[in-house]
Amino acid sequence: MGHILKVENENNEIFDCNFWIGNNHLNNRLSIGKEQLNKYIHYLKTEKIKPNIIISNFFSLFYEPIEGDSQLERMIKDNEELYGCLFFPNQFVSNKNEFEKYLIQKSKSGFKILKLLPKTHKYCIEPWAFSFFYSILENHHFPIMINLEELDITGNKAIKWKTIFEISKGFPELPIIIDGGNSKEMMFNNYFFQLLENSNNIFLETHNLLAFGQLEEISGSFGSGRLIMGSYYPYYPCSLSLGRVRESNMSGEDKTNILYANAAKIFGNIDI
Amino acid sequence: MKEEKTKENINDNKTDPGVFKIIDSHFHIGKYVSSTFSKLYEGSDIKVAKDLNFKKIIFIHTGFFFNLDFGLKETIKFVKKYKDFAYAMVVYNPNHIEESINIIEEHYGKNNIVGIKMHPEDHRCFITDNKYEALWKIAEAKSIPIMSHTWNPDVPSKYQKYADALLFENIVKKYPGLKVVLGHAGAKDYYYCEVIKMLKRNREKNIFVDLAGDVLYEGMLEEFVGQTGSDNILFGTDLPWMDPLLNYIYVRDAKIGIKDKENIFYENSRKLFNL
Repeated sequence: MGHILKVENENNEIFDCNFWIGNNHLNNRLSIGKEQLNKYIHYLKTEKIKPNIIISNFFSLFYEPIEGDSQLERMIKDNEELYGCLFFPNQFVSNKNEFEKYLIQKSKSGFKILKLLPKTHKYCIEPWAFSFFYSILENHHFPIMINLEELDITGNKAIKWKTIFEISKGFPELPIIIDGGNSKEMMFNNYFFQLLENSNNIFLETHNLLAFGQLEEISGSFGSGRLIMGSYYPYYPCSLSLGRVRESNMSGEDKTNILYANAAKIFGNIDI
Repeated sequence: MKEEKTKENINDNKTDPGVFKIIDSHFHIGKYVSSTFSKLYEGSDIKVAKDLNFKKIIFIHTGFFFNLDFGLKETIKFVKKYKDFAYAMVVYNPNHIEESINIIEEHYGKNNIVGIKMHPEDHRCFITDNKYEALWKIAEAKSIPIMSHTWNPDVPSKYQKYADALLFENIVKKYPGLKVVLGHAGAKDYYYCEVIKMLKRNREKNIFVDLAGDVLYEGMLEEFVGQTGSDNILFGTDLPWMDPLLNYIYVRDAKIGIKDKENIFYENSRKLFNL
């Protein structure tokens, strides 16, 4: 049958773990409102796919996390298809005892992931500095997502892989999702093999795993349980990351894992 | 009953690799140390291409960038193995001008060699450097298509500055008979918008773009087609840097016409490289 074999994943439900919404002041094309979100949902439904979309808000990224995530909270409230991605508010670094309460409240409002942006939002996520927060997150099995570009310490693609490894070792029950962002380094499996081999709690969001056979190679070596689908819309078309999995030659079970089950298991384990 | 797949309902996003004929105009073979290549790659690339209904590939052997003799030898070997399927480009290395020109003069038009590849980033030579003059002259005189690696100069990788697509604007003014393909559409992080402006300023010139690489941005292809038409856009994957399924889905699912997709997937390459 070859490389192109459209096989429906077994339950036709997906988690898109990296969808962006909001005004993007750098490029109008990247500004996404409810209309585009609804079009995406409609597209999925015409493909007979039940959507679960984890949304990140540009306002949280560019302006301020608490404000941006409050906006998002209003949008996702009472909507079973929509969930939120929190951005860590750096004010908790100096006010850490308020963090757990904040996390619990947001989790109950439908937030499923905490994004860490140490370079952009100016805080240190190395375990020696951030262990207080990792302990809370691990205790609640609340996953974190780290953008690889945030670990590019030189701005010249020298990624500090050791940070991810140390977080993983220090907090083995904490799910760590690596988001490639726009980083080309995500296309080099040689980096990941060592991380995946030496951990059980590191996962790769798929939108930037673009190289030939890359998903199949990771799946073949470590199982498909370490891969989680994200569209990274509006940077990439919605159908790209989804189609890459659905239309691949991987088994139905692997497709279901990547598109839905792995994320569902992580979020289902959140203990709040 | 299974719905018959036609080009008209391909926009329903149903998969059918048989609907479009495809030429992949930007395909790599060989090894490369700073790459994504893995043990799965060699041998499966051609199979995957044929599964996706690629009728032909235009490839470059990566060894050619680093050693002209080795690259030529491996290229001819590969072409002979896949002679009705694989077409090749030879490399012009601005740091080895005489040898490069000799290869072009001796081999262009033979053994399925259909074009010349240049790689300003790998060769650390600006597109506007005089070391490329011999290339422009021979390519224009013999009407040989040139494909250049092009990229956004404002990226972490410091050598990409050599491959700024916009530098071609002055080249094609001086050599109006040149046929140039801007590999990767000059793109990364929306630099393609500048490339579109350049294409519009130079409509009468033979400047093409290909879609190879991790430049599959939302709306980019629609913007190119809307602003410059589809006659100058070539399908390419950059395999094995990219999984070809992604590039295929990107064009197949783009909000452009069927005729535009046919041009991009097949017709433009067929005409440009005379296949």
